[in-house]
Amino acid sequence: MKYNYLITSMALLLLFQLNAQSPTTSYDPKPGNSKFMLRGYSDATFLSNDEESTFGNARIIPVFLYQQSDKLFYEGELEFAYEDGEVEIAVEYANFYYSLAPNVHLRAGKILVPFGIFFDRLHPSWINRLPTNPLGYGHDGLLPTSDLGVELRGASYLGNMKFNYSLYVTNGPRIKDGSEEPDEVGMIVHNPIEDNNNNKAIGGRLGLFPLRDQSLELGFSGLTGKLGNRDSEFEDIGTMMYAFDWTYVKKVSPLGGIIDIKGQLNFINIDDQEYEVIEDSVSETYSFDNKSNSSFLQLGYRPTFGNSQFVKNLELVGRYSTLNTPEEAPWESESTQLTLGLNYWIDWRTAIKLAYQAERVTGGHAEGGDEPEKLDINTLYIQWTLGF
Amino acid sequence: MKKINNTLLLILFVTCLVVVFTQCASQKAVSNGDELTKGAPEYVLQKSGAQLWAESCIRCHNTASPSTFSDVQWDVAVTHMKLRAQLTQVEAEKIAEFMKLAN
Repeated sequence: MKYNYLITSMALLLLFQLNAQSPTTSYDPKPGNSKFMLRGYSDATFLSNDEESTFGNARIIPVFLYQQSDKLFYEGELEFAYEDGEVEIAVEYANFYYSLAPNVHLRAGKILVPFGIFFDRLHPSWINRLPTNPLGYGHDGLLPTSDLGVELRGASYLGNMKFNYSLYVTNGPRIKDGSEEPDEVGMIVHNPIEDNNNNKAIGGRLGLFPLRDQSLELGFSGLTGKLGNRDSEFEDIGTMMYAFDWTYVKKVSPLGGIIDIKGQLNFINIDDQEYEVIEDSVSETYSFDNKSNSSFLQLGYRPTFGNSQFVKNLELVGRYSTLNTPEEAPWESESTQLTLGLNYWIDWRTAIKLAYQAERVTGGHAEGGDEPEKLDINTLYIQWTLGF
Repeated sequence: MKKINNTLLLILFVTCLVVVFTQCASQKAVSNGDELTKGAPEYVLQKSGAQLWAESCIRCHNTASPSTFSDVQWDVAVTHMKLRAQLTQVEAEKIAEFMKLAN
């Protein structure tokens, strides 16, 4: 019996040793049809202005990619943000794609709304050239970020010109009726917690590439839908939003570097409506032309001349952004934002960003002819970001 | 506003139908032949994967180093970009081929 144990033990040892010596013989490198990949990004930001000087937040945003087959693909982005001693968790998007044809893809779930280019393409901090977003964007902005719905998207050719397209139906935005926040009555809200009516928002974007080197893209987006709660007096209030965007990225030899020009004009039109709100037990009626607009223009320059790798890793960025909300609305404002930045790229997806942002806000519904409140906020940002 | 909404809805619906039917039809028509190149202009077919990689990625972010990922990972990453960044099938195939050769 002891002899058998000895033989067995030696055989097992020999087997382990063989496996240890030639690991490739036991490893099957064939990937199979299903492929999983974890990507994402993380960042940490320091900011300093007259009000505070603080390490503002730190975030890790994993993006889960799963390719089940040539036709079926899944992507999901979670955001974990640590700020003010609390961890906030959000699902930025979670959707699957099914390829109906090589250039026609169905996307469904919580999707990034392709209204313009910023949020759909540029919002990750390792892609966004500055530590902040243009005015009108973000989780509480007037512009859409993500929503539940279904979309057809893809790219193809119109003669010799490439184009891309998106057509989508989503739950859509809603309107604030002033019952909870009287100061924001009539304001559009995207990404609502629940669908407030049976109407669905319909939208789309068409992008054209007039130049053969794809350096220029011109886009037009539109979104329409009803905003009011079902069975409420605001049920029939509708919105018509549209945007123009442009991208021009090209290496320009006379300038010794790559120039990157991006921009977007947004228009948010909401049907006229009279709003009655009760604030501090006093009833007040608002009637205003509910039209808002916002824009941004961003210029970037990354040198490619010379032999210094340090210089080649630098990038200069400037962005000017505006936001105008309706006159006579309690949330009336005129805002401008100028941001100047210097980035150092450690590699293609890791950067340290230094930026100075000057924001001017003139706003508030002035009573009795008072001058609207003016606010100047000048902030220095340092952000470290890494894509993975 | 209601009239504009209905008009926009109609335009989007018709555009959607046209795109889906033309693309699905073109896929069926080329199922026996050169599926990838059907519909793509000659100048696109003449571009190398390296050229398309340089042109496409930089519109949003810095161009990725091919050595970043393995062959399998590039399959997933480029498919993801085909869907998210709206690359055409020809572009995606050529870029993936280049990345897997150069990594």
